[in-house]
Amino acid sequence: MKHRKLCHTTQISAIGKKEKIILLALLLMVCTIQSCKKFVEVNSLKDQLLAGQVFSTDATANSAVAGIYTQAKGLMIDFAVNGGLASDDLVDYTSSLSFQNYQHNTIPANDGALPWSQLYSVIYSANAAIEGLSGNTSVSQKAKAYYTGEAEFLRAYSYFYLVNLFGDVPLIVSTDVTKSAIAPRADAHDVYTQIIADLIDAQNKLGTDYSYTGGDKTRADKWVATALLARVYLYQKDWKDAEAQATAVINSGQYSLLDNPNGIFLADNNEAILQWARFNGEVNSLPSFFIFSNSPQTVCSDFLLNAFEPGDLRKTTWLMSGVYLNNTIYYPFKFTTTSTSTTEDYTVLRLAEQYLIRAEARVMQNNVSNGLSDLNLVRQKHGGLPGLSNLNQQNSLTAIMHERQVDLFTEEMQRFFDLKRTGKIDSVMMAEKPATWKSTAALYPIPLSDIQRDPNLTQNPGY
Amino acid sequence: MNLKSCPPHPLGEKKRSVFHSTRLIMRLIMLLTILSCFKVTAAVYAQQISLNVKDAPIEKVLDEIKKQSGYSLITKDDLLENASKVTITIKNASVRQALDECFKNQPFTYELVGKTIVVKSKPLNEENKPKRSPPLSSSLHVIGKVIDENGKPLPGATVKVTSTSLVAATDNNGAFTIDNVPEKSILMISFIGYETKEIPATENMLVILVPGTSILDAIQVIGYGTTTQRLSTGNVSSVSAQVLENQPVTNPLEALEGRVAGLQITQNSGLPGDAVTVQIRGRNSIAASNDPLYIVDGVPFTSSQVEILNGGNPMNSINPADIESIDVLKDADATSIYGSRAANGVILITTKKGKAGETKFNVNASTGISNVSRQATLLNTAQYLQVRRDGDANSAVTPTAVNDPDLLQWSPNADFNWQKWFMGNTANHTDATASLSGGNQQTTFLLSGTFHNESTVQSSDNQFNRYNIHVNLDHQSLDKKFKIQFNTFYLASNNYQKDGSLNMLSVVTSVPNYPVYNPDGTYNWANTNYVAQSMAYNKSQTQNLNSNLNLSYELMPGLKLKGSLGYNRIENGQIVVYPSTYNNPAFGIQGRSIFTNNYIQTLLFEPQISYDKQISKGKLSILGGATTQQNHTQGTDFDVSGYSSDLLLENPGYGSSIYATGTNVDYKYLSVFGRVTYNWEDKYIINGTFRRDGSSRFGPDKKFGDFGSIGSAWIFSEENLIKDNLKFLSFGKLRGSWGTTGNDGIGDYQYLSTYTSTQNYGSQPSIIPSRIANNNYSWEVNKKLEFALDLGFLNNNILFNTAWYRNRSGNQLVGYPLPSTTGFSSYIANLPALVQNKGWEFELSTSTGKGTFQWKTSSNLTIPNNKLLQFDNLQSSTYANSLVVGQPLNIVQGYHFLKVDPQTGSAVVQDINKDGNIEAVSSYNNQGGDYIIMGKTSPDWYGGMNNTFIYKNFQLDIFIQYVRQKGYNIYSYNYSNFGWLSNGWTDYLGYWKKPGDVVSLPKPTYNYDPSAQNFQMSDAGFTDASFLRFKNISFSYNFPSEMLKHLKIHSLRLYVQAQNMITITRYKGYDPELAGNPALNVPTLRTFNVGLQTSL
Repeated sequence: MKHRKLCHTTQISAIGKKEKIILLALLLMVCTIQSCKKFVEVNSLKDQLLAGQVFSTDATANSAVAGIYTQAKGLMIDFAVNGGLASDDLVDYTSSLSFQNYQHNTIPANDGALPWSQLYSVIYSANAAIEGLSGNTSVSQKAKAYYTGEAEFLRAYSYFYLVNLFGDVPLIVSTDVTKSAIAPRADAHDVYTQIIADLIDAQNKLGTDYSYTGGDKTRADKWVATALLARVYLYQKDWKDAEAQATAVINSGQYSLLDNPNGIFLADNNEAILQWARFNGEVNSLPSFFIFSNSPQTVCSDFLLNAFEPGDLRKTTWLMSGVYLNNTIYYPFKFTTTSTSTTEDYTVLRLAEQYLIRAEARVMQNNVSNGLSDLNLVRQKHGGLPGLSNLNQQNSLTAIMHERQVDLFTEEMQRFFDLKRTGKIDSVMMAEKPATWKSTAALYPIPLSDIQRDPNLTQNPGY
Repeated sequence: MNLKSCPPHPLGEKKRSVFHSTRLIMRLIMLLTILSCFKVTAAVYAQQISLNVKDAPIEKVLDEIKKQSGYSLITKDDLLENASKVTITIKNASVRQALDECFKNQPFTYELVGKTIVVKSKPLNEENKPKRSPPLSSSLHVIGKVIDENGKPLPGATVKVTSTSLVAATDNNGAFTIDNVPEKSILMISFIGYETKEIPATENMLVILVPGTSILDAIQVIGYGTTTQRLSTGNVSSVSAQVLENQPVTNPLEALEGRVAGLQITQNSGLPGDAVTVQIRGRNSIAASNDPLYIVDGVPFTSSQVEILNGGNPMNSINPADIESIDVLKDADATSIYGSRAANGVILITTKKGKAGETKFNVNASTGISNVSRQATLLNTAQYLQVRRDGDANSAVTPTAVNDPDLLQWSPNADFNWQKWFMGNTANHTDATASLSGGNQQTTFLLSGTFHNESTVQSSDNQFNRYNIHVNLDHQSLDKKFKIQFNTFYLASNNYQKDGSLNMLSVVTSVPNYPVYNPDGTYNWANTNYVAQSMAYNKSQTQNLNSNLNLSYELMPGLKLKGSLGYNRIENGQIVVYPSTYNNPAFGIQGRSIFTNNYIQTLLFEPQISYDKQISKGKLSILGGATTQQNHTQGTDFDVSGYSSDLLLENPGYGSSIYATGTNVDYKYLSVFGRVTYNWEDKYIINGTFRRDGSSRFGPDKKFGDFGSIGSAWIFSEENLIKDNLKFLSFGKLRGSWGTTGNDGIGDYQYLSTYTSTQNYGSQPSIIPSRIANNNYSWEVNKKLEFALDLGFLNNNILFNTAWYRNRSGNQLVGYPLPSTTGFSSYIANLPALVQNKGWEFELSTSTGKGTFQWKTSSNLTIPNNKLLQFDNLQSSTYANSLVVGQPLNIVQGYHFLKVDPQTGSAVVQDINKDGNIEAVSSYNNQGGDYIIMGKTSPDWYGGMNNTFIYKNFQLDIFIQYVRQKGYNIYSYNYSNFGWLSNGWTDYLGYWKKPGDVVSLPKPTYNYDPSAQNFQMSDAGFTDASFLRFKNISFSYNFPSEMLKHLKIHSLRLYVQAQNMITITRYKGYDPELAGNPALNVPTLRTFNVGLQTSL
């Protein structure tokens, strides 16, 4: 019972303590509220980099630029397969609705494969890099110049495809969303002006031997920007500048034409100017759209097949045949394996095109004989074909166009754009796809969702 | 076992400090564990009284008996004044023996009522009649105690003298005192959750209340407290364990379908573990989350999927058999206390607890089968080939082996039923739950384990397994001041399914005579080979640990301190395997596997303080508290390819290429909250809540927000005027509430401009921008208004509730869609838009019959009305084509189908803008297109009706669900492919065949036909999808207890259940329940289940 008494006294003193406990609890609560702001603040992220940190070191800036290439690389299948179907390179054997739409040039405005948004993603990242590097003193001078140049090249590359695929397109050169979300279509001429300005600036900023970014030909260098600039001038019918830029690439001493079609798509071969890099173990998925084992995928059109002259080495090297329903069909075999081996790389720019650009530019400037010698170099080395001579300007041009068709097929939409820029697309396609071709199909539709979202964006005719 | 060796800690010491309490808790937990192991019941504990006192005051002796027995004591102070000293020496005696000894020579006696010792005067006889004259006044000094059926005191019960204004509330020991009670008056004693009792006043009273059988008085769980439907000022709907038990469902949310007014639940598919969409009172947000806030035993539970691939619903990781009740909080009064996360309502899940009394062992086991509730009929090969021929003819195409292999190469006699192959299996399931529960006045426990296994309608090899353990321990100190609750469940599930990329529409519409195999037995890859692709599988393992500890201590009468600690960790590991045979071997693509691991961890600490006080005739309750919450989400994802062998696909080390990504995100949350309730004689109740929230999801100046509500109720049936004149009206309440809640249902860090890693470029690590940042957005705010009328008739055998609500959600927080010219498809922003959800909810429950036959019904009906009230500059916004002011958010736009041109067979849709072209753009908001509003995917009205028939030991429950709505029908599936290398439904057969045909279905074509596309996109494909479904039929038989007595079994119940038994609908398609989703998914299942439940 003594024990009981003790309890009594503690109980009494506990009553005295009650106020203290309440006070303490209230104090605790107040303290908690005081530390509120700190508690709900996020000071550093663990799985992402704050944008401000990205361009603070050379290494992270390099990663940001490498990221733009990764984004741009994603376009290769679109350009090769859909572009091949939309022109007259390929015919679809898979009955895929999307492929059929490209082949019949009936691409719906809501088609998921339209390269539009991907190109603008590249442009946003390039803009962000250019802005992040501009006026930046945390990265080295060399890195700043080089990475800015690369971003400018990638921006120019993207706009080149946008303007050729979609016509007048919004011209966005900053990351400011308030402007880009309501951008109207800019005149194609203004887009080209920006492309040329970017490429010239890139030429000035970039090095000449790929060494700064690792040595292989997977990142832009001065000659990469120059090679694209030559193509841009050609499209602009600025023959003089096109010739000058192509000559600069040819004379750079970095590249030489291979003596036969073998090896042109191997990594880092002498003819390559720019190739997209694959990470270790990345499957080369492009060939899987062509290679026919059990059933055909997309195969060479008869127009392409018939375009090869007898004896052209490219026909036997770059095409492979298979038998389907008692018919022999041919499919592109520029890439021979879908494996993860990195011996073959997807080629963006190569020297043969520069010779053909110069050939065309020279012929257009009435320098037919020099033009033909450029052409003949490609014919002889790649095709094992005899040189051409004594052609007039018009026939020379036809020969150059033909050479482009058989050398550059399924590469970077070259055929589709060649037909368009030479004004031959309607006559050629009307003959080849009489049932479905419409002249409005020369431009892809602007994605429906963007038309719905950007009040100032209008659709191309025919969609 | 000798209990003495492990006695409860002496009461006195415990009071000294909280720190001693923790020691006590530890000991108690140990004791409890031992107790539960040895099946010791309360009776044993109570019978061990040992006393050794000499000439002690009786108070002390009684105190000691109280302490040792756990019994409580009621006495009148002056009664003990004349007591003589006590001398006793006993050992291990019973309570009664001890008391007999103690009261042997006393001028008063005692009575044992349950576990309460009531000291009373000895019955008056001539000898000991007081010599005093009778009291002058005729009033009584009433002292008493209110206890429950188990003898547990009920603190806070209201005791009212009906003829006067005298009112008292019981204290912590359930005791009350009222002076000057006129003789022969009636006392009315009421307590939340118990039946109100009226008894004549006497000087010394012991009142035993029994739990209310009326729904009105059943306990409802609300935010940080409990209430009843009778006294609630807010809108809370409760679903009991029994409703869950009747339904053989895997996800507990599925059991709520149609049961609760204002709650709309739709399954995404009939595959186990798949997602479920839950909306309380409609869609509030244009783009942020519309999920309610889930709270499981006080711990917020994620509503976002934890599986990275083929994600399901996290509620699959809560075992329905563990759930005691699910409470759905709807209006401001009920939800505002959850502040910024309660805009879409709150679902509180409370798990089962142990009950005091004999230790019980329960087993419930069931098994059954399921199949797809509705199949559609596809064309057979002959019909299909005819369509193909007609399609070729309509496009003037001559069939060639390349274009028409099905006509020219493949066997016209082959007829493969893809639908049956895809989902024609009969699935099995087995469930078993075993639980042990019991305890005494101080301590209760529950231990249970559940096993669930089911296969799927796709394959018997596909399995979903779930194992669950649930532990609940409750303890309170002898003086009831200190309480501790510990509750934990751990659930592990394995889900083995076909890979989700196998698209149902593509598979079921595969060409019926497609040769799956080449003559040499290899897969035929002329087209995509779905049989080969079905070899891809997904193995998913989820673990969910949910644990919470509540401590409370009563500092002084009415003042309680409480602390809650909560922890939840839900973790998922997945392997998705694509063997090399998944792809056409022509591509030479090797096997590929994706390994993911992801967990979401929640830590919660909530200190609370509450104070209850009787002020005048009213009871004031104040609650204050704070919350700190931290969520951590972390995951890794390894995409491994280049396996040279398919044998090691589940080993990430064997592939030649690994692409890894990861997430690592913190979400922090902090708030203070409070609630004040004043209840005047259970007649007028006013309730106010407040919460200030801070969240890491918002930018530097936007982190904090304030929310609050006010609710009030007038129980007018308590007014004498009504009581006297409207006798049939047993209950009537008018209530209303207004308040604000918020929505922070967007992702983390969205206000920061960041870069995230992507695939390496060559050997170089790559990062790309994650988003366009905006640090100016803040909470979405939902203002909720509600008025309701609750009526009870015929002694509350008929209850009718009507509620009208209006929720307006503004400051819309959206992933604002951007044109892709910005580089991204959206960014987070507040939108100057206002969304209104207005509606009526009706609930009716009836109960008739007593004894052998009883019939109970409960029905609900909801008429929701969702409307976009305001949207500045909608026509130039990115929503110009999807939203229309004055219309619901869930409108569906498309063409208006006019006819099939009898001459050409092409579909003609209305050219709304009369420009000669048909544009797939809205005709609203000056968009100048040809889309009209075809309808909406949200229902016009929905509800359910449950009938329960009880005859003797038989019980039959029939639950009918009804929904009036529109949905995507069969023509919207793939009509634009009609005539191509893909199959259609027999409904398509009425197509146009020759000029002059007046029909409603356009012709098939070989080429892409825009008119067929227009038809598919028209209102011909979006029609009535209303349905009435016998959602649940459950029949059970309880074996009579006399029969079971011999077998020493408490109860034995046999039951048969059927889910989704019959569906009555005019809908053309698969499951009308899924008709609002344009993607075709495996329909919900029809399930039969047989089971047995017993208690030993």
